[in-house]
Parts: sequence; C-alpha cells; structure tokens
Amino acid sequence: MKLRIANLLMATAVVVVVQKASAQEAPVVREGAYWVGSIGDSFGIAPQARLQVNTRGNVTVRREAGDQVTYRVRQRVRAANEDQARTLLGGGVRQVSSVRGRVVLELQPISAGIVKTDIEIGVPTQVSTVIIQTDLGGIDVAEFDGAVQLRTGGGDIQLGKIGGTVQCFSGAGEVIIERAGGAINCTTAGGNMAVRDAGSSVALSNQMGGNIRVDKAAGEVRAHSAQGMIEVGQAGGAVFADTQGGFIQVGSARGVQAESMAGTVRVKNDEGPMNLAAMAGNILAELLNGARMQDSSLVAGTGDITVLIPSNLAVSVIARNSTGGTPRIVSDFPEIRVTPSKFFQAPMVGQGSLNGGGPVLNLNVSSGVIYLRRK
Amino acid sequence: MNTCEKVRKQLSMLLYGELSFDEEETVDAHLEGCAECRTALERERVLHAAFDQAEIEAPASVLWESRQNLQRQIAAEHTPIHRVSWWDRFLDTAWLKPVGGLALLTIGFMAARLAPSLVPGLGLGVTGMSLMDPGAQRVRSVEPGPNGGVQIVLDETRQRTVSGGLDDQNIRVLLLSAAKDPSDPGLRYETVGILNDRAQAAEVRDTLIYALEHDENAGVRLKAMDGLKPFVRQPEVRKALSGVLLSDGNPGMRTQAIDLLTQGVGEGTGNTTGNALDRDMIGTLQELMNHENNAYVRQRGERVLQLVNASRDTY
Repeated sequence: MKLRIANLLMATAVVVVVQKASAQEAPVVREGAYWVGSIGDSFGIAPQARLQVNTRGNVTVRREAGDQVTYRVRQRVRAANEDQARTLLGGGVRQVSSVRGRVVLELQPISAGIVKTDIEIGVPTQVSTVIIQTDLGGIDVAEFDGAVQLRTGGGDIQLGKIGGTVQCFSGAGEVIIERAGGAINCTTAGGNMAVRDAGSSVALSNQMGGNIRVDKAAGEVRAHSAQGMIEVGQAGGAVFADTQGGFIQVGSARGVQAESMAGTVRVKNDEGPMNLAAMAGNILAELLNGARMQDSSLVAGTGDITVLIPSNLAVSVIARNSTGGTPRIVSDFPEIRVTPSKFFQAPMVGQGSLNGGGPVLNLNVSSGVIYLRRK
Repeated sequence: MNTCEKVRKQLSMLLYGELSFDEEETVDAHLEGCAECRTALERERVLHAAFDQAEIEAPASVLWESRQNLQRQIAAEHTPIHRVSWWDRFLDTAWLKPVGGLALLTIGFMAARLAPSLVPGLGLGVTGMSLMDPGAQRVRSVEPGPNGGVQIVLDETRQRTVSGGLDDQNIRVLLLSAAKDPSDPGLRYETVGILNDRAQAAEVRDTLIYALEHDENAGVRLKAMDGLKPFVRQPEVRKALSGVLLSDGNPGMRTQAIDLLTQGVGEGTGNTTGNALDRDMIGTLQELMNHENNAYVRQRGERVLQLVNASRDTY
C-alpha cells in the first residue's frame, strides 16, 4: 500500500514538472542552412523502475550517472525564417507519468514530416528496463546494464553492450547486437540481423528476407529467414534454423534442426540429435570427436549428403539413395554394407554399425550421392 | 523377248563396263542398225550423268556389311540341302527372332548388374565406379578393341580444385559465373561476398549490380548492396539503387537503398544543402511517394524532397 501511494505521488510530481517545462517556448537557432530547435529536461526515477519512452524519430540511449533520467529532443528543418521554422517544428507533447513501477515518457513532436527529429535519452544504471517505442527512426543503445524492449516502425536497431534481455522489432531495417547478457528475441520485416555474443538464448526472425548471423550464443539459437543465409558460429544449446532460400551453416551446436528450401546445409554437431533437410542443396554434416549424438535424420532432395564420422564414434548408419539410374553410396567404412538396388527397385541401401553401433544416423537422398567419410 | 528388249536391259551394264567382250560386241552390232535403241542408250547416259552428280559419300561400314552379306550368301549356297525338321521350322517362325533378341538383352542387362556384387572389385558397374572414382560416370560408347579387348568411352564429371588470386583472370571469370548460378543462393552469396572486395573493377561492379537488380534471394541482394556502398556516387550504381527503391519487395532493401541514395543530402554547411540531387533522383523520389507503403521510407523520401525544394507530387 505504501509503495502504491509512493508511486502515485511520484507520478503526480513528475507530471507537474513536465507541464511547467512544456509551457516554456523552445529556443530556435540558426545552424547553417537549418533552423534547429531543441528541448531537454530531467526527472528522478526510483531504483529498479522501468522506463518507457514513446516518441517519433531516431532514438539514442546512453548510460547516465546519478539517479536522473535526462532527455533531449533536437529537431532540424530548412525554413525561410524563424517564424516559418517555428511553424514547421510545431512543438509537441511532453509528459511523464508513472504506473506500477513503469515511468512513461511521452515525447511526441507535432511537427511536419520533413522535420528531422533526434532524441537522446540518458538512463541511470538503477533503471532495470528501458522500453523504447518510436514510430519511425532508428534506435541506438550503446551500453545499458538492464533489459531493453525496442520497437520501431522502420529503421535500424543497433545495440552495444546490453546486460539483460533484449526484445526488439523493426518494421524495416537491420538489427545489430554486439553483446547481450540475457536472452535475445528480435524480429525485422526485412534486413540483415547479426548477434556477436549472447549470454543466453537467441531467437531471430526475418519476415521478408535478409541474412542472419550469430557468432556465439550460450544457449539455444532459433533463426528464421524468409530468404537469406543463416550462419551460427557456436551455440551452447540446440540450433533451430530454417530459410526458404540460402545456406545454413552451424559451426558447433548441441543438436541441430535445419531446413533449407534451396541451399547447402553445413553442420558440426557436438551432441544431441541432428535433423537436417535440404530440398535443393547439399548437406555436409561433421560429427565431432567424442560427440554424444542421438538418433538423427539427414534428408536431401536434390543434392549430396556427406557425413564426416570420427573413427572412434559408435553409431549405426542406415543410408538410402533413391536416385534413378545408378544410385551411389560411397563409404570409407567396410562395416557399412551397400546393397545395390534390385532390378527396377530403388533405393540402394547401405547399412552397418560402427564401433559396435549406437544412435541411428538415417540418411536419405532422392537425387544425389551419399558419402560416408572417415575423419 | 525380242532383240531390242534384250539389248535395252543390258545398256546399263554396258555403261558400267560390266559386259563381257562377246556381249558388248552383240549390243554394239545391234545399236548400229537400231535408231530407237541408240536413243535409249543416250537416255541411259543422261540418267547416269545425273546420278554421278548426286554422288553421296557412302559410310565405311557399307563395305564391311556388304562383305558380310556376301559371305553369308556364299555360305548359304554351299550349304547342302536337307530335310527341314520341326525344330528348324520352329526356329524360322517370324515372332521368335525379336523375342530371342529381347531375351538376350535382358540376360545381358541382368549380368551387368549382378556381376559387380558377385565378383567384388571387377571394376564395372556401380560398385566398381565408386571404388575407381567418386566422379559421376556414364558409358558413351563401346567398341571391340585389339586382342579381344574393348574400348569404352566414358562421360565423366570430375570435381577439380582451382586456386588463385582474385586478380587472376581465370579465377575472376569463374567467380563472375558463380555469382549468377541460379541453382544455389548460398554459392551466389559467398561469391558476391568475395567480389565485394574487388568492386572497383568495372566488370565486378557490373556483376554486383546484376545481383542487386535480379537475384531472387534477398540475402544475396543485401550482400551485393554492401559491396556497392563505396560506389554510390557512380551513375550506374545510383540507377540500380533507384530501381531497388521503386520495385524491390523487401522493405529492408528499400530502407537501405534510400539511406544510401540520400546520404549526405542536407549535411552541408552554410547556406548549402550539401550534395544536391539530380533531376532523375528527384523524379524517383516523387514516384516513390505515389506508392510506397513503408512509413520510414516515405518519411525519408519526403524529407529529402523538401530539402531540395522539390514537390512531393508528380503531375
């Protein structure tokens, strides 16, 4: 009860301050060919509070010392004179409110569309979460210890070092994340997506096409691209990847499920199951030394399957090649017996147990060659 | 058969020089006293001349086949006549020969398929090929060779590794070809990524522009756009980016295109607006305003048009 009253009092106090600020006339100055108007202010925020900013324009978030949230709105426009510039800039709405631990800063310029608006937010470290919603424009967060939730109607999202979780959405544009301590869940309608280092799981979705790259993730990785390449360097968990067109490449993972409609699938797997499918493209799977694999399935429509198997790995192999004419299964392992396809009866089958047998590695090719290579 | 009829049947052989001395004497004697047969001889000469002009090159096998036929005929004439048995009549039935041929073909086919598994390392068939060479093989033709051997002509598709620098013309030709390979977007993406480092060369830039404009895969198009960024002032690159802005279905592509096309505009100092836009670019942006549904791209276009004092609308 005490907390709710405190929040209510804080919200009331903040709104009073903002109303006073908005009554002031923003100065407009000439900078080269432009007229520039800028406003800014600050307000206190409780520890562990969540800060939400609703605005329009490019947003930059930086870490601020102390316990004050600072903001600065800078608008720029070409105009014949100061009066015309003021008309075009048009002012805007500034309001701060607080509800149940969430402090909401409304910065809504009422200006012409031709006005370029840049918003800079200084956030103290005691804020647990920053939520940015901008109608149009990029979002740039260089460094923040907590979690971020970002949404833009269109524009690039660039994140530096984020301590907590990351949720983001862009109506159109790139998503680049250098480092995040928590889970990442981001979507863009179109554009490249890249994560350099994730301390937890990663989920990236590209709705209309673009390339996805995850260099390193401590947890599982989920990547979906309507059209584009998917590259995962190192995943501490399983990788789930699918693309309608493009290759999928996984450096190492603990289980992989990958589907490409057109493109090669290249995978190195540490442990866990592999379920790989390439409708039109090759599959190259490398089982690592000491891998603790589980039953796996590799299916290629039009393309070859090549599996690199360590000499000491215990695994049972069933390979089927349904290619018409002269199907081929090329094996470095004498333990795998290849039975030629009978008269008018596909497929050619190769099967056998390596090192006493183990999890089943099921290989199917409709039109291509199966290679079983010794590492 | 009267004399004229008999002589006219021999006229052709006369012209070929195939008549005996006596036959030729007889024909000549008749021709001296018979005008109709002389006329017939002239017609035969004209016909032979026409055939000579239409002479064709007979294949070498004709001689061999003719000799074989001849030997069979001679052998048949020397075969003693004997009574035809029921077995011979059975063998002479018209349907048996094609059926027998089919049976022989089937036996040959089955033998070819079963032989490799029965005799490991025989070096033929599927298993043999996999042992010999991972490259795909296909028998093009088979011919009898000397000493009872055979000569087999194979069609092979072998993988070959070619290495070299990007300045090597052969390497570059292969890369430019791979960048347009319709079957594998991953191959195109990686190739475009390599070519991006050599985009200062006009032919490489042309390939990147082609990928930007025509590649069906958005990931490849985005990669090509990366390589063209340093050349955004080049007219052909601007034209390609304008095309992307107006017609690419991917909003991420259009977002990047408008960012590149308008970069620097309005960044000037003093009373200038920095890099001015040409008339074509202004027209492109005005056209964009008519149909663009992405708010961010629209806003960027609108702002740039205002910066260069151009109207939003076309009429």
